[in-house]
Amino acid sequence: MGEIIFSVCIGGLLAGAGIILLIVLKHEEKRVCPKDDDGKK
Amino acid sequence: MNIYFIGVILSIIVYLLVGIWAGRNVKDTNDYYVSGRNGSTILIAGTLFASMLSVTGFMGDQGFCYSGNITTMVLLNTICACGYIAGPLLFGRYLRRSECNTMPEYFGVRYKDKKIRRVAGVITIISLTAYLLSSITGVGILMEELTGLPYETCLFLAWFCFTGFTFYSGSKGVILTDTMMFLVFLFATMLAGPYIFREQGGIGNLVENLMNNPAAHPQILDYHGNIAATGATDAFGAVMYAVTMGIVWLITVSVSPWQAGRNMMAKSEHVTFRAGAVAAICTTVFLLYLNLESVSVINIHPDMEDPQRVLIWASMEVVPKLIGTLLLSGIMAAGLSSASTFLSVIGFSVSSDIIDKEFHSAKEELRFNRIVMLVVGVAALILAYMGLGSMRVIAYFASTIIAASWAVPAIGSVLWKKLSATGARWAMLAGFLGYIISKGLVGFHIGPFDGILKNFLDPFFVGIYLSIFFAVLGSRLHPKSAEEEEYHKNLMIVPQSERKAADYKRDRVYGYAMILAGVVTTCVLLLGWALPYNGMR
Repeated sequence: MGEIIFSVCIGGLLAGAGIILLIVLKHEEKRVCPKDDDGKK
Repeated sequence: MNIYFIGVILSIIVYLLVGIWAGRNVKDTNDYYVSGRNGSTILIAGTLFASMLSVTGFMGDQGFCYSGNITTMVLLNTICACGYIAGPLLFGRYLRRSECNTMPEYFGVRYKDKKIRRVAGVITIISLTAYLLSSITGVGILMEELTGLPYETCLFLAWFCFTGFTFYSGSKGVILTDTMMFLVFLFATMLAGPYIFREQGGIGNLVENLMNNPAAHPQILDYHGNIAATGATDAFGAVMYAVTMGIVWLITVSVSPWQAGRNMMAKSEHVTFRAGAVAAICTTVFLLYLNLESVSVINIHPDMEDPQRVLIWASMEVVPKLIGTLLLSGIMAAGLSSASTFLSVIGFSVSSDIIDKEFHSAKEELRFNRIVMLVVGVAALILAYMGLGSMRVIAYFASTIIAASWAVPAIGSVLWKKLSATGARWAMLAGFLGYIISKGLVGFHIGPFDGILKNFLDPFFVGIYLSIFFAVLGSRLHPKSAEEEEYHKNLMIVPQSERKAADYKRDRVYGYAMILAGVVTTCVLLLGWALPYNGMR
């Protein structure tokens, strides 16, 4: 059973780090990217 | 003269030529120190990964896997990989934004304090010289084995190679050769894999063969690995060893000058995120593949006297000669790339952070920097000839000490609004001394410390705890000045050049690639190991 949890954790850590990167950058993009006249980014 | 000898000499000549070619484009100290701040994603990712992976990664770590600790290494590496995301987000991007040339300079500018710059410079020189010596020695020993030449000659050849292009081309040559070396060991390892796996009966039979191999360590396929080799007494202790060492390396890749410092050469802040994502995937996926090659050898040659030589043996005995030569050149390249990075960081610190000199022209400044780099290189060679690099105690202290002392002032320079110059300086010194003293107590088996100072009381964490304590104390006694406050405020503003939606869109591709790599890794581990090992498939 420990091996199954281990396998999920290994991929989960890498995927989790990717998700954090996506969330942080998405949040920042909303905050700093200027919108054009139509309100689009 | 064997094929390995020719391969080694040929690769040295190629690295030298490329480094010298890069050096011709160096016009000023901006080019020399930070490669004109123009590094692309592949160059930054290449130098990050190549600097992190030294000869130890191909020998000591692989011996650890062969002896039953592949799961320990995989967990450790994956936690370390997260540092390539945390590092640029929490520190690396701000380091680049400061437009400084060295990390000690960043500390000086951020905290408006010349003293902290000097302290950071001295710590850089001491710790990276130790790491450099250990790297040169590793490459020298490996080259001696491959070429049959005397050790002293090999040491000189290795030194001549990386010092030759580092002194002439600075960072411009280092990131280029680092990336070449990264590609060499990446492709060599990928090419060697199928031959090694096939020789032991195919990758699909690896787990079954290991289960039926009486010579394999009985715990090699358990999630905790060989418990005794981690110094623990139970499965929990063994996993904790991997977790704490993983966190140590996570912090190391986030803040040390030979890792975080690479971000200063990036073309943009977005490049630091993308390169970090590539390095994170390589640290998890590529190293897992490399570790699998090492444990496969157990089914081919189960009684290896020196497990550290597992990949060297496989290169010479299992894979075709040409690929074996490429792999051995790749292992040597891993050592050379780390050595060139360490030498460049030390040289920059000596000329920029320690020697305070005024120059009349950019040309004069560049010439001075090159001379300092050469002098540092010669000093390192003399120390290596004195045998300092082969002293276990030197290597023992070298790798992570700088992270223990810099973690709080570095991350704090961004996240900790109240951290003052005094707090940061005291934190740096406390981390450094706390680590050295406690590591000394453990290393020399003094009193009961050997058994006490482990896991979250590991000397690295003792350094971190002391660093936090003194950061609070120093900041309370000597609060932050208005000038520091102002700089910190400006540092938090995202520059206009970084505010392009297209860049964020491109960054997201790398984030999704990490998620995909994570899902695939879990599936491979589940289907190839965890489920069959537990009798579920």
